[in-house]
Amino acid sequence: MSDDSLSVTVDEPRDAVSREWELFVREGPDDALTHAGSVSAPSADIAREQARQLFEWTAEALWLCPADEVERIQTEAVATVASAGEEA
Amino acid sequence: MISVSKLLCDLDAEGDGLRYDAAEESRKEQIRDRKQRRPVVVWNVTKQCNLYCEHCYAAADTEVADGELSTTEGKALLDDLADYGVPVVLFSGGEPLVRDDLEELIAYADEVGVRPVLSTNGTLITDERARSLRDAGLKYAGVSVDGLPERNDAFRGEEGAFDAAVRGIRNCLDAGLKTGLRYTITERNAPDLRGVVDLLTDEGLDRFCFYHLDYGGRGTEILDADLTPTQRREAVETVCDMTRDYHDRGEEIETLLVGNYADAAYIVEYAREHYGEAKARTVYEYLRTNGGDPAGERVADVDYQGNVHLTQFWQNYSLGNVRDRPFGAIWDDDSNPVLAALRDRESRLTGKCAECAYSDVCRGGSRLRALTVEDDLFAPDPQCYLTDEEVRTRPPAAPDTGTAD
Repeated sequence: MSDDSLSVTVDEPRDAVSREWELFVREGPDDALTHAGSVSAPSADIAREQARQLFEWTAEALWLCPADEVERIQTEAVATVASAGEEA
Repeated sequence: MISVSKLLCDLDAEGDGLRYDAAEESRKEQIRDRKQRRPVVVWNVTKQCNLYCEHCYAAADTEVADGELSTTEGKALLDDLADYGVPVVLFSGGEPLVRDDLEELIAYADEVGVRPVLSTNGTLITDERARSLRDAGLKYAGVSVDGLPERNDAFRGEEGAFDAAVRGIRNCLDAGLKTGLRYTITERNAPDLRGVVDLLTDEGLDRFCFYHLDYGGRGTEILDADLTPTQRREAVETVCDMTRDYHDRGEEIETLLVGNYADAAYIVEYAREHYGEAKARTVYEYLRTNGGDPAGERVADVDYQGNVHLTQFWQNYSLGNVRDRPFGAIWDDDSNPVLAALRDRESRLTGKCAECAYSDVCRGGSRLRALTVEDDLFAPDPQCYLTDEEVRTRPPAAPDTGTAD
């Protein structure tokens, strides 16, 4: 396994305002479903409403997933802040 | 940010290089290079605050929240911002002074070439802390006061907050720190505006930033306290009149309006009425360079957990997190439809914004307010107070040079 392997887990919370919901958008039938940020909302219903407000002008499909249910794993080269480590 | 004192009274001030590409004509310290094209970044270093203000966009709390970027992570973020060419980092909160590593972070920002400035409620700035902030390399402290004592203290949820903030301002000024006022105008404190400026001018303050209420965080809970269009127009006129009065008396205060680019059109019309067409044209050209509402372009926000936002007020939508991806990569990722649309918003604006003569100096104002009130990212800003006549007017034309090209 190389040094670039997916070895860094980022598990710090993202719920700065309230529960965070990762947001995925597909704009057309042939497009990929792509990550388009996240919304903060206390419930799935409110998250769905916020996502609809933001993306209904362009989205054909919206998927939402609680950020705290997402495993974030990446290479060390990408995780610039996470890999900064803690001070002694 | 619209500098009333620059536009109406030709005040030379730091920051005009960023706002109006006016660095070459300035005698003050200016940012002159490629950094002008990068966003100013607000970094909410903590959610914790010693006060509990009614209008706090960050919905700050009195307790420490989980997930704050550590000192080391903060320095990595500052490296990241420096690499991307960010010109200014505004340390904000919560109340940034509750972090005991604030000076260390400010010093690091200064060391890596990102100009460190501060937004604070001022109540924790002792004379010792003011000196340590200065010694760390802080370039500016903006202290929030939202009315004369009674109204400010009610707004901020603590008796004595006004006096504590004024002590903080005095300590900053005594330490030789460039210091200014931040004042969010609402229906409740609009009558205090001139009184606060008079009082703090006597204290030696010479920079006053007036914020329109944006609809983020707890700001969404006090929409009923926001100004009506008529009141807003009167408040902006007061700022313009007051600025001229001070300058006419030889007191060169710097005054700025923040958060509502209908003000840009209003100031062009104000200049036309009070100074004539040539002055209005100059003001208009400055404001065209300034470029209107900056969300998603010339201002960005990183919250205490590293989430990146379109502005500091737009906390309930994040583009990504700096623990996952460098700030520059997040900010440059136009595959995000909202980010791309904000950068091409003029073609998408609807209603009166679509036909407004001043859309190039306003660019529709706050998209967050449109979204919050109208449920539509491209609807007119509900705070726009321009008349139908102003929307249809002809902006000042460039002089006819008689040459064709």
